Amino acid sequence: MKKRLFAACLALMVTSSLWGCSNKPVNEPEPPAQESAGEAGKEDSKTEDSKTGEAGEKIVIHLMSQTPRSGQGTEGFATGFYNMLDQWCADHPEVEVNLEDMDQTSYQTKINSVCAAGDIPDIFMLKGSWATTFIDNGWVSDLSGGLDADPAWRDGYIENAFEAVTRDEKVYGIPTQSMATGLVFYNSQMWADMGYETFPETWEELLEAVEKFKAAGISTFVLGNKPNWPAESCWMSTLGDRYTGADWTQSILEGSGAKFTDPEFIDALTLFKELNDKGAFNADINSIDDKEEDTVYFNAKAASIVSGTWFIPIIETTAPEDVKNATKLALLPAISGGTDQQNTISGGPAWFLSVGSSVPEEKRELVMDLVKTLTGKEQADITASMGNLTAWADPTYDESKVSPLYTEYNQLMKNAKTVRIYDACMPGSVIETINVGLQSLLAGEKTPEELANEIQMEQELLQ
Amino acid sequence: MGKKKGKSRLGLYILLCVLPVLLIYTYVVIIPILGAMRFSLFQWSGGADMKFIGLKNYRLLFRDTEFWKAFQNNVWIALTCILGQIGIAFFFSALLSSRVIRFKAFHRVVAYFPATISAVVVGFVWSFIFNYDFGLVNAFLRAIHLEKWAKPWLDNPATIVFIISIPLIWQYIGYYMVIIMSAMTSIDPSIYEMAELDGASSLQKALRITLPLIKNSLAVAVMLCIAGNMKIFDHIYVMTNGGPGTSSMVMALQVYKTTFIKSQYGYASAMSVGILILSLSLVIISRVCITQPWRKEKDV
Repeated sequence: MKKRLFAACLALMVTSSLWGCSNKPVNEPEPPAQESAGEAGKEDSKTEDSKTGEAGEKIVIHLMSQTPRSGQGTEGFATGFYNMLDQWCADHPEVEVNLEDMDQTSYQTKINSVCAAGDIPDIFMLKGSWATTFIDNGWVSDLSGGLDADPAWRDGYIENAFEAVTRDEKVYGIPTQSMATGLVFYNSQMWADMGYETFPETWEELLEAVEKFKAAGISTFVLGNKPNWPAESCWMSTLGDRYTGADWTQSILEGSGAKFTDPEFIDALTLFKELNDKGAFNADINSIDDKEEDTVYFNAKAASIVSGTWFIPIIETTAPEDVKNATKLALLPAISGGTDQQNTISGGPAWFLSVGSSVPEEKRELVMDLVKTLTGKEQADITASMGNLTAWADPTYDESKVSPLYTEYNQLMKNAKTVRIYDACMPGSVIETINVGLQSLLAGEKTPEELANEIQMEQELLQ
Repeated sequence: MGKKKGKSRLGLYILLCVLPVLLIYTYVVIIPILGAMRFSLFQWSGGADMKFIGLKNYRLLFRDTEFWKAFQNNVWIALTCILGQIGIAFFFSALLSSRVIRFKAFHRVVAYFPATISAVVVGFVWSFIFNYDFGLVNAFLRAIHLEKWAKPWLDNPATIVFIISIPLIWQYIGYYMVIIMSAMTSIDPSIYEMAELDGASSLQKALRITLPLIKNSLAVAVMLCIAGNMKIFDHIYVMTNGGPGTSSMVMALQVYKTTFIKSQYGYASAMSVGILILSLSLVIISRVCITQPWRKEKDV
């Protein structure tokens, strides 16, 4: 009988613990650090302190990052970021930094969950395309005061670096790194074989080249659009802007007049579709992914690839020697029917360092100081010396030690204007409609007009 | 009296044994379903801000052509799979039950083997098989000088639904074979002997004797097939990610995208409830069609 009573008690305990869990929002994995409240003692006291900021023994700053610390020493940004963190910690023995680092995919789920649950970290990484959600929900705080107090810091960054995280002239994040997405990597050897010393500078010239490559049985470009973002992020962000201009994109973002159904945007879609119809791309454009496309380029089955700056270290480490040496960089050719500004490339910072909205006043100065250290010039210098792109306008590094492509890129960018990457600034649902729609467009299922209408409808649903 | 007490004790005992499983089931299945029904009444982007909008999500769902197109794809895949999986499984089972085939145990194991592989692996393997440049299908076609037939199989919106059904059919033939063969072994062999004496051919035996006698098992198989194909997700996520465009989009994948990419948690919940209702009704319809309860009195 006693045993049975015991079993019943156990069952009751199981039930009650299950019900306890079910009070938390569904869909959200439980954050381990915050979860420990009432269970593990040590962790608990840390997080408690960080929330209240009470100076018991040490002030605790809670920092969450999407860059794993394991990259320190090998990967450019991780080295710059964590070297500066170590240095700051050594200078501030009274502060304990409680760091949570993880890979990007886990980070995306975790940061959204902890913020939704109200346990906002003191300092954390914010992706440009999340800005609207985080700002509207009041999870991040305005940093413009701190920036204005130090103009050297504020003005040290590349042009428009704060664009993605600025709302009503309030700045909600500091850029940590930068990228360009619409960069042409071409195999100069293959182009030379077709009679081109450099990459074509006009669209007409490019179309001629497409004919020649097609006759030779080679794809001019390889595109792996199965994950459906490459066509939009690497191609349309730049091509779109060549027709619409940057003001149009700004107007779309603000909802002040511009429409996806405007003829300029439809022209851009038509141009992209025509390029595909003329046979510029590989036949399996929608069924290989962004890793497989690299292989096609490395095997010299395609003469060029339009990708982002992340492709530079990949070429450095995995490309066959001959392809690596032949690879050069270019901008997409100028389009005659477009705007006056044709030396553009989609790019900009994608990740920002933000300060949580629940940081208490007395801790604020320390937190801002740490943010400044982690995003400042020293971090940029270290990152750049390892051949990674920074958001800092003019980092100091030794050119002889980095990949020649990186130096070439920096040269190229001196005469180029950066325009916004669509998926780094537009809301997720609009981007998904563009991404899926571009697949249909390339597969010949939709006309540019139909696609433009669809995107516009999604855009209007949001307003 | 003692017996009755014993019986109620046994009932309590069974309840206690089942309770943990029941609780887990409630926690992972029933409560989320109820939760989804609640969330489907809100406009919700995942944050603390939830706006009650009544049945508006459902009104949107009725007019959402993309959702109905995905449903249509699900139905096509289910139909192809019913014909492919159960049809081929029936054919193989009939072969294996006949006397012409040797190494029956070996064939049974080999046929069941694909059903044990993870769907993600199957998806990857078949996307390599269908690959345009180095895939097995195109390599074979090029080897026999049919270059013109070599196509980017996963890129054609017109045929994609049938192409992605092939791995599904291949994977689950063995599974339905087990169900059908166990039904076949329960048929009294003397019926076949009598039929043979009357001069029935193999085809006649299969269609006139086996098929009617395993009708109930077939109904179960069809039901499992429909239910399985309504929630199909991983194969397609891996092979085409719903593309090109939305031509291979299925309902479960659309819910996933609406939730985690578009951040429309409320609307996605309404979609899930829609899927639940649609799947249940299809299963009930198929069950009624196969067992035809209204014909029972006449036949027997």
